[in-house]
Amino acid sequence: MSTSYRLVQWNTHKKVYDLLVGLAIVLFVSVLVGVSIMTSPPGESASPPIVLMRALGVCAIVLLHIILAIGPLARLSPRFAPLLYNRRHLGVAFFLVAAMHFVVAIGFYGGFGVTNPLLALLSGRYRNADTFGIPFEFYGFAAFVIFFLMAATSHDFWLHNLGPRAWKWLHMLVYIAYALVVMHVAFGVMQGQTSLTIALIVTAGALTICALHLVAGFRQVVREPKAFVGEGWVDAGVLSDIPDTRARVVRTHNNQEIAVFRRGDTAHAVTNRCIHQGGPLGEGQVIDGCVTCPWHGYQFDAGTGCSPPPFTDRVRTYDVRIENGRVLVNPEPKSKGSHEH
Amino acid sequence: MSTDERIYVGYLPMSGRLRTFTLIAVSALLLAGLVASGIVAYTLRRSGTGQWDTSQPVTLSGVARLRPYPHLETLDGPVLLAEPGKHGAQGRTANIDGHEVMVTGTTLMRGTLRALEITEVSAPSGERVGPTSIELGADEITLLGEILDSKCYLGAMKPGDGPTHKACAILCLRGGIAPLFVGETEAGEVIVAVLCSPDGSPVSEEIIAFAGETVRVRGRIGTFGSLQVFAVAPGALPAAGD
Repeated sequence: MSTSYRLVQWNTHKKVYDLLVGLAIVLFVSVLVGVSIMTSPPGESASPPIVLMRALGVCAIVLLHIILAIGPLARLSPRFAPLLYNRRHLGVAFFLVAAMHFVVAIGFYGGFGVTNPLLALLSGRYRNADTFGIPFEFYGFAAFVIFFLMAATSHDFWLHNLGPRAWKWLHMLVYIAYALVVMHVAFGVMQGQTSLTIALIVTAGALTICALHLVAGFRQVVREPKAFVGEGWVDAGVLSDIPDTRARVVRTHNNQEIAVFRRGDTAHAVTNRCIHQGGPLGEGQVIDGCVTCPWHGYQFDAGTGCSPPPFTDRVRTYDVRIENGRVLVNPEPKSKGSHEH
Repeated sequence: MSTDERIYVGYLPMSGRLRTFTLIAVSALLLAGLVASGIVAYTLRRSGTGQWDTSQPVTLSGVARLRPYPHLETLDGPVLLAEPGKHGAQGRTANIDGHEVMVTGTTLMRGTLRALEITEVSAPSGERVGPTSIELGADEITLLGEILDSKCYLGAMKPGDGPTHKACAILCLRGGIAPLFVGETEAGEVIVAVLCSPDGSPVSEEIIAFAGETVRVRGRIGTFGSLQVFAVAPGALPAAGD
């Protein structure tokens, strides 16, 4: 939030999270290398750099699936929020593992020859119709470029300078990168296999990611009320139907989402989009008088929309009134958010 | 507000119930990932029987031959020669072609086929032995298999075949490493032979570009000295295998 600059706002949860991620990566790679070597018939084990490259690649793909699953899981159940909280660090860790896979592959497959290692890998002349004539390495390289852009812009510095909208669009490229990774595997290692095991595992992973996103999206559509068409104040329903300190999200005629929070016998309305990463404030809670974003804990005074001092961020707020136990919201904002100055 | 009623906020204490759930969720994710990865690692476990003994350099004596690809004719059969990295030994054998030499290096071996990654070549001794000519069978045959670089196939890189190895194989072959054709005849006989042109010269760039793919190739089996070769006409491009 907008106070004195610190590179990373460390806290206990982030430290534990990062430590566990680091240990899990070391464990993963060690187990994969161990299984590869120990289950190989004598003398038939892959070369050590290949074993390492495969282990890093598989580890990266598993991490990518976890990263992509966390978002919809957290939408389906707030109990997954602790995994979402530090997802950017998990993303950067994933990128580092993918980068090591990339370096070992370039160095070992593309190195020691008469051509530039990267060119050697990307300039293979393919005629196989299954690969559209494109080397499978190209798909991995294209995905890696996207992952690099995402990792390089993952810091809040870029979020603030690019703006939440552009930043979010940039980071939505992860789905294109994921599709490229699937093609990298499908036209690469999968082509050399006689068994369907790897194809089945990759398909199961892709189907799981798709299913989680579809279910989470469907649940969100069902949970949100219909758009309120018409001029004037918006009816947000009966106040007592909203759990205390929690919110109901309404959508106005001009498609704005407003989170209406209940605090005892009163109500407050703020925009449903957090100024930080566009998190769903309506899925948050009023804590110590502040609307608290469920994604990263950004806080805004429920009445004024201003962050508590020393922070200076603020979100749009709306007038509310209660008539016959029902909450009515004026869709015209009474204050502007931080990014509208 | 108790921590059990509160949403999760990263910088505030986590409730006991949420901590337990998170622990279970993380363990389940880790276990699922490890099981899936273990299965993948097990599936990919076989990488061929090639062996590269880098622990003990050996010195072999024989007649050096530049064509079709650098090799040493020894009393125990032919030994392909390669430089370190993905480079052929054309430069070093050009001046000793046909001469008796001692070559020191590390051995790569798969089945009965051997290669040496050269570290040292002695000065040639004796008179130059006359050139060896290529002798090919009368009938053309079609083989189904893969064009590989001999160094990786014999153990420098494992696995040294298949689509993931294609770029490396092309790099090795463009560097001058001897190409092999490893495949089967229509009768099911396994053939491992050095790929060359019918006149005993190296194969063309167009054929090298097919390395790493399963292809059908038409040519003639024969010998070049003690080296088994599969000679393919420069225009006879491989066809995609089934």
